[in-house]
Parts: sequence; structure tokens; C-alpha cells
Amino acid sequence: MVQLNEMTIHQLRDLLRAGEVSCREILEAVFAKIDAVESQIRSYITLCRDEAFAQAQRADEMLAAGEAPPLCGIPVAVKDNFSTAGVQTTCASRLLENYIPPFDAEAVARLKQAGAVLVGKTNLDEFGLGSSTENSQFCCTRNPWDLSRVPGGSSGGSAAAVAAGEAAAALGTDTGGSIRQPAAFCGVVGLKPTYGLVSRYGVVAAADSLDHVGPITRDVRDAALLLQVIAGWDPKDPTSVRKDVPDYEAALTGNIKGLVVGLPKEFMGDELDPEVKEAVFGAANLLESLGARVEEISLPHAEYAMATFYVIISAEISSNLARFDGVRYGYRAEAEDTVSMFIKTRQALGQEAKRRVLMGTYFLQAKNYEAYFLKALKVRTLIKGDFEKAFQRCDVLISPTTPTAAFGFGHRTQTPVTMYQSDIYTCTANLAGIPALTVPCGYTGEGLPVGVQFLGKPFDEPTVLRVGHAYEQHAGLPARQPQMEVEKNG
Amino acid sequence: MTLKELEAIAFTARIGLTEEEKEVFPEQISQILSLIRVLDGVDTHAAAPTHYPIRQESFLREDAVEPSLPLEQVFANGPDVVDGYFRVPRIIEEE
Repeated sequence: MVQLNEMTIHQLRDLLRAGEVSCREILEAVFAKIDAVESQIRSYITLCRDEAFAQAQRADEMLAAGEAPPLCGIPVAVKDNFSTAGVQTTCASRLLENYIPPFDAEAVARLKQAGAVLVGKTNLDEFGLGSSTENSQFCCTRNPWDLSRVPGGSSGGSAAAVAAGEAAAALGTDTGGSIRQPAAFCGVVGLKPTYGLVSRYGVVAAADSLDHVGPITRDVRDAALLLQVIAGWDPKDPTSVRKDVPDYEAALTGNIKGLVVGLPKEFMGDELDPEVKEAVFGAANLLESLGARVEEISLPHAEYAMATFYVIISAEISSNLARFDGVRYGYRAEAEDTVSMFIKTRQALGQEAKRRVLMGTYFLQAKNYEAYFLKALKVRTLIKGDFEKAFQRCDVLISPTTPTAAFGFGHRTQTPVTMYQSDIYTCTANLAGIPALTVPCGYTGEGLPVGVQFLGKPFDEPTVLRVGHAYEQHAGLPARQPQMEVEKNG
Repeated sequence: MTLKELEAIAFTARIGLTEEEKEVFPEQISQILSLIRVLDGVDTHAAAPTHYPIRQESFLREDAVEPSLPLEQVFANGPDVVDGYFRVPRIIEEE
């Protein structure tokens, strides 16, 4: 029987509304699991046990009073780069080790408003910079499917928490694949919505024009439910878009007859692991059997996406991380003069964050600005144009989420360029701002999960979710749970 | 990238480097720069730069007075706070 801590949001919602369980019982199941496995998985930087039980009690009172906000009593984990009032927010960086925000990020405020219970703050690569969560300065999160492998990143803690049954769902952020890649590595669903659909207010910025907030969940319906709560205009985020929010759950009709699904040939190249390729082709075939038409298409500038992405993210990071100077909050190194204080304080950044700040500073120097930064912004236009052209013919695109399944610890940390390859299929959606969803689509011979990615037109989350949901309903994947084998590996 | 160039950029960014980083960064950064050189071959003469992927009309918010954070909360995270100021090492030399 499925345990409470392994259920989806909608299963829990139905049980709560039927009065068959209490919010407290659900939370007890979640913390029992955390107590059993967290010493091995290390999904969380901070656990909010006492406050969570107080929130669960309030949720039970609301249910008893006949009120049922959409996420009432649902235990949710939040990546530790979302500001949480009164709860430390570290971004997995020594620079923010003791930082306690005085306010909630908008997405967090909306979760609380919807009755969700905040279980804790999850681990990430420092400031979201990385693809394995190995760049956290505090702890190393392990993949629940194989403790010798990374959970992906940068939202590795959020994905691992959902996969391990340590939360019903989680919030992540995605700058180049940081929701989708760890979701694929951990066998769960991850959605990066359209740029501007979900407020970034209160999320510690990595790269303004590439950062997105989105859900990591056990199934596509849960992604729709969570998106429903966090989506919508926020005057506090100037890039947030004023637009009506559709009913995402209503879009999950199961019917994809007649839809045209594009398969970009550039995402099926030599770098793609044969087992992942087979799983993605299997998914495409299934969509055809459900009445969709799959066509090979071309995104001719996709081969330049990684380089373009790297220039833009580094430039924006170098600017955003300038605020960590030891003056107003966070860590400060003592020094005789102010400039030395800045330099010594910022020496505490990890290597990946430093490399990106250094590269960004280099790209933005007057002599390099045009050749690197402006050039990348122009290539970005061409990459975006490729998608616009593809979506004249297609309703959605299908691709692998990652070139391989989860890799081992330390395998890619010595050569940053190899690590960046983890994001080759995901970062294009950040450059173009389009919605992208990863859904589990199989397992490798070693039993590691594989994800398939669906990409859509701007603000067409309903179609992306509809296709992902139809696929998920018919995929018939064996209902496997990660066997954490904590004792054996511990 | 040479060590001298690296140190100049690090000073611009006000980033202190460890001895290990001074050793490994020049080679790693050279690898990254050669990855990026692929962009040189792209014809962008007809492309305008895209700063933000989705265009959003700018608008002015209503000029209304709203509550702001109390000062004690604003200063609560300050590493060195005195009388409503953030104190930093001396910037101006004494005569």
C-alpha cells in the first residue's frame, strides 16, 4: 500500500476532503521518513519541524471549519534560494550562512496562502550554479535511486526530497535546467513555466533573464495544481506578466488527437546515451499511438545554445552576486580597509560561483562586451526564432531532458565544461523563455530513471501539461519507488 | 588566459582567490573561452539582441503609500550595525 508520504497532492487532497486522514498524520508520515533517511539523502539544509506541525494544525482547523484552500495541509519543500520569513535562507553559500529574511518570496507567500505546510529548505548548488548539487557549501545530497550518484542540480535537494518521500512536492528554480535535470535524475516531474508567469520576487537572483520558478512533483496533475497556486501577475516583480491564468487541471483531458509533436533532430545527436534515446523514441511512439502526429524538425541554432547560455548567465551572475559584499547582511571577513574587506569576504564563494563571476566580469569589460555579451544576446534571438518557426508547425516539441541518467559523485567536477553539457537540452528553453516539462519515461539497465521533455509555446502550459499527462497515463511505467538501501550504504 | 589577466579580473570583481584557484582557473577558463568561440561563426548581422525572452510592457504603479519593513528588521542581518548605520572599515585616510 502507498504510504501517506509517498502520495501525490491530489491523492492527499481527496483523502483530506473525505476526512479519512488529518494534515497532522500526513506530516507525521513525512517526518518519519525524514528521520529514517535524511542522514543519508541530505535533501534539506534546514528543517522547519515545529512550525510545520503548527501549520498542519491550522490546516486541520481550516478543514474542520469547512474551508479547504487548494493545498490545505500539503507538505511542501522549498529550495533554499527562496526567501522565507524568519527561516534562514542560505543559497547553500557561506556568504548567507546566518541570513534570515524578514519577508517571504511571493511564490512562498502564495503556497502558505493556499494552506501548504513548509517542511523545510532544500539543498542546491551554491546560488543555483551547478548541475549536481555538489557545489553546495554545506552538504552533499545523494540520489535516492542510487546513493553513489548525484541527484542533479541545482534543485537537487528539492528533487531528492520528492523522490525519497520527504515531501509531497517542492518548489525549485530553473536557470538552465535546474528544475528539469534533477527531476529527470530523480524520477519525478518538473516544470519550468513560461518566463514571467511566476513571480521571482524574493528569490535570490542568479541570472534575471534566465531564472524561473516552478514545481517539482510526483505526477503531472500535481504540477498543474502547484502551478495554479503560484502563477499570476505580481506587481513586485517587473518581469511578471499581466495575463489571466487558465485552469491548468482542466487542461488534463487525456486527449491529444491531432496534435503535432516536433522532434528536434539536433537533440538526438551522438552525445545522447543510447538508453535515453530509446526511451524518448518510445515516448514519441506512444504519443503517435494516442493520435498525435510526430514530425522531425530542426532547430538549426541549437548547437550554439550552450555557449550563448554560458555568456549570458555569467554576465548576469557577475552583476547579481555583486550585492554580496559583507556590508548589509551575510558573512563579512575582517580587514583593515573596505576594498580588502570586499575581496576577503567574497573569497568565501565556492569555485563555480567564482568562475562564473570572473567570466561574467570578463565578458562585460568594455573591450569584450560586443564580441561576447552582445554577440550572445543576438544568437539568443536566433535560437528564439528557431522555436517560433517550429511552433508555426507544431503544438509541442519532444526531446530528452538530459543526455544521460544520473552520474556519479566527482565525475564532472574537475572539468567544468563537461558539467555544463548536462544542460544542453534544457537551457534552450530558458534562453527562449518557453514552458518545458520533464516526465519520467523509463529506466536504464542499471535502474536509473530517465526523463522526457515536452516544450511548448509561450504561456501554453495547458497544452504542455495535457501532453505530459496523456503520456504519463498511458506510459505504463512499472510503479517503482527508489530503494534507498540506507542501511547497506550507511 | 594568463595568471596576470586572471588576477586583474579578480580585482575588478573584488574576488579573492586561493592559491589552488590561481593554479587551476587559467586552464579551466581557457577551455570555457574556446567553447564560446563557436559563436564567432554565427551570422548575426540581421539579429537584434534579446535581453529578456518575453516582452512585458512597462507600467507605473499607483503612487500609494504602503507599509515598509521596520528598521530593526532591516538591520537585523547586518554584520556590524551602529545607531542605524552599517559600519565598515575606514574609507577616508586620516590627515
